[in-house]
Amino acid sequence: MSEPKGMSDRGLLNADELGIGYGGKKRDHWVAKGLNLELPAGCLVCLLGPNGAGKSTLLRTLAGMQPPLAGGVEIGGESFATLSSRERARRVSVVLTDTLPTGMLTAYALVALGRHPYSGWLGRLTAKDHERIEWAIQAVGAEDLAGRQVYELSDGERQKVSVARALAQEARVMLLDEPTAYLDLPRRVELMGLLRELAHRESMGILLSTHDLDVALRFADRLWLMEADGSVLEGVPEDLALSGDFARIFASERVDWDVELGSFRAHREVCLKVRIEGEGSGVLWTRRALARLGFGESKVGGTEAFLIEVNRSESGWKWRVQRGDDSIEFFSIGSWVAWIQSKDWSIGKEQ
Amino acid sequence: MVTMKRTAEGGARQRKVIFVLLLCALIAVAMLSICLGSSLLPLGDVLGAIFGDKSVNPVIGQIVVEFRLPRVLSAMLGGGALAVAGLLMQTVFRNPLADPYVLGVNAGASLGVALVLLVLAPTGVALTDSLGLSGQLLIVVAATSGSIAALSVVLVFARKVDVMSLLIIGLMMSYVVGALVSILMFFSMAERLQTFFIWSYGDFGNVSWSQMRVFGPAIVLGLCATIVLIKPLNALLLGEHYAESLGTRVKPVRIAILVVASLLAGTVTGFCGPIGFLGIAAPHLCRYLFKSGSHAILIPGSILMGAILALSADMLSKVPGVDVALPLNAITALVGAPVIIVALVRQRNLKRVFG
Repeated sequence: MSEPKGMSDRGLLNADELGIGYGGKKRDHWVAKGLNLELPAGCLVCLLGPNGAGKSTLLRTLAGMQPPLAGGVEIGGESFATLSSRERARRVSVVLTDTLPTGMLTAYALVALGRHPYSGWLGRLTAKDHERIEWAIQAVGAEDLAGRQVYELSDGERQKVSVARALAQEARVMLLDEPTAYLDLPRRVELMGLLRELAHRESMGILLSTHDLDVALRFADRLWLMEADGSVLEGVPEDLALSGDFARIFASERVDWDVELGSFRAHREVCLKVRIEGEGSGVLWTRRALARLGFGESKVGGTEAFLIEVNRSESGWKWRVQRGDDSIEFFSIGSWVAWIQSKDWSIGKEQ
Repeated sequence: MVTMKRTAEGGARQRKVIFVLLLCALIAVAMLSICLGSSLLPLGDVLGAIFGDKSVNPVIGQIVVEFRLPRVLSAMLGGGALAVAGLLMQTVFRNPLADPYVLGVNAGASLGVALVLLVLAPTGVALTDSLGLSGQLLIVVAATSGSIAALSVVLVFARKVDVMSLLIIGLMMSYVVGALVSILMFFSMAERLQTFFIWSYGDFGNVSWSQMRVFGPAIVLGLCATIVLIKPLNALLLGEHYAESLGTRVKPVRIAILVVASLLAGTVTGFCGPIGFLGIAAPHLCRYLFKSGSHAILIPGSILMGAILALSADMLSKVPGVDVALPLNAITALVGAPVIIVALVRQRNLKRVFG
């Protein structure tokens, strides 16, 4: 233990007793204090937390775009405060939520801007720069986009090109502020997969903030959970889920995070219960449709308002709804949802 | 990989062609501008006079060298300077409507000129009614000092606030200064007002060779200074946050850009009056022509485009063959605005281009 702590023991990016917030004239507005964080090499870390917890402030402070109120950020063993802006740019790249860009610019030219920390005062690019630019474009799979104007790109394509621009910067730390916002699920999964692969293959430390808990849980190597008071819990996603921290931080009046399901569940006042019989994916989606309508599930017999039997036949899924002596067959969820909605259930409740 | 490089090279070749075409257009317009005027001169005599051919009629030689050449030169320099100033302002403020005067340099200049023409002159300061040579010089000094004063006020804020606030501060300053000018005008005599109006119409024909010795180097120096700004300007295309993350020291760069742009615009306003529109139009036309946002292309492109537009506007204002000169500002707006509208409609995505 007497061995001095070398660079290799610590992360690429370290925060020591970091205090973040905004300096004011009379007094500072603190978002969080006493943060000790470590972004290891070869690791994709997701920063999660409710709105307003200070995720963006933390990211900006770690990126050196905002001075810390206390403590410091260290990168590769050097204090951030002592580095020149050019040296910082060679160590940390960022992808922000800022709109891109003004003027006509091809995707290739945008990625090429990532070489600024290496080019001379005129910004002239060498063959090596072009090599790195093309490598970055290939790494994100944006070869087809290189010649297109940036404003023509879709959100997903633009985000890819932004990541390529950050990669061209050849920094070992990449910080991304909500890169998956505005992307549809396949694009989100694609981007997260790409970032994880880059982190592992290039031994980079990648930190991103997101609101997408599901995707973060599946892709992140580690999570930083930011609580509403600004403190940060750190760990492997599965541990944080099991320990209940995940559920605690994201609980609210309307929804909570279900450790059994591994996803969010809206809770409502349940006035009527339904018994569901059957097996397979049909039951899962039947349950979700009923939950959406505000029905609970009855596990014990006798308390239910009606019974739904889910069966799979050769021609497809089939639902039989039994209420008292009535029994009706349906061939789509939509049809029995319409049937339920046409009934006045408040009368049924009194019965 | 091959396709990426090919796309880049193909674009470069196309741009070279456009540059050559613009250069040819500039020379053609310049020659035409020297030939046309209240008296039409043959091209051969004009070339002879420029290159010092002794056989050319000395009267024609004098017209060309003493009057038309400095006018053409000042239009080229002034147009180029305004176009570059407009480009810098549009990039810094990330706003397609920004022009060289957003920080209020022309408002400052007009206050300076109004003070000289409307206040000092009536109170007995020597100034001939018809604006003699000394009077013209006085106006240049007044306009330039006014520009510098306005710029200094705005620069005090430039370190403290973000660019959007700066834009608003510049706008508000222009209103305040404009109000002061209105008050001065309200209490002025009609013939004084006429002189002031003539100044405010803008004119490239006021720069004599002796003034050119100040005007020329000042503009060339300002344009040369933009070379060191190319790289940070390109970074600023991504916005100030990204520029900073790329190692750009945003605040000093921002001030340098504002100073260079305002000095270019202020110098032109000082010598030629507040010439509107060129500064907004030329950069847009360049983006549209070159399909590029890189300042390494747009700065030289804007210089050429601005020079061509200024020369053309000046030529039209002289109305070839007639001895009447229309206000230059009326021409720049009348001809330029429809051009921009067409360019925008065809480009359609200007709003998205500027994020």
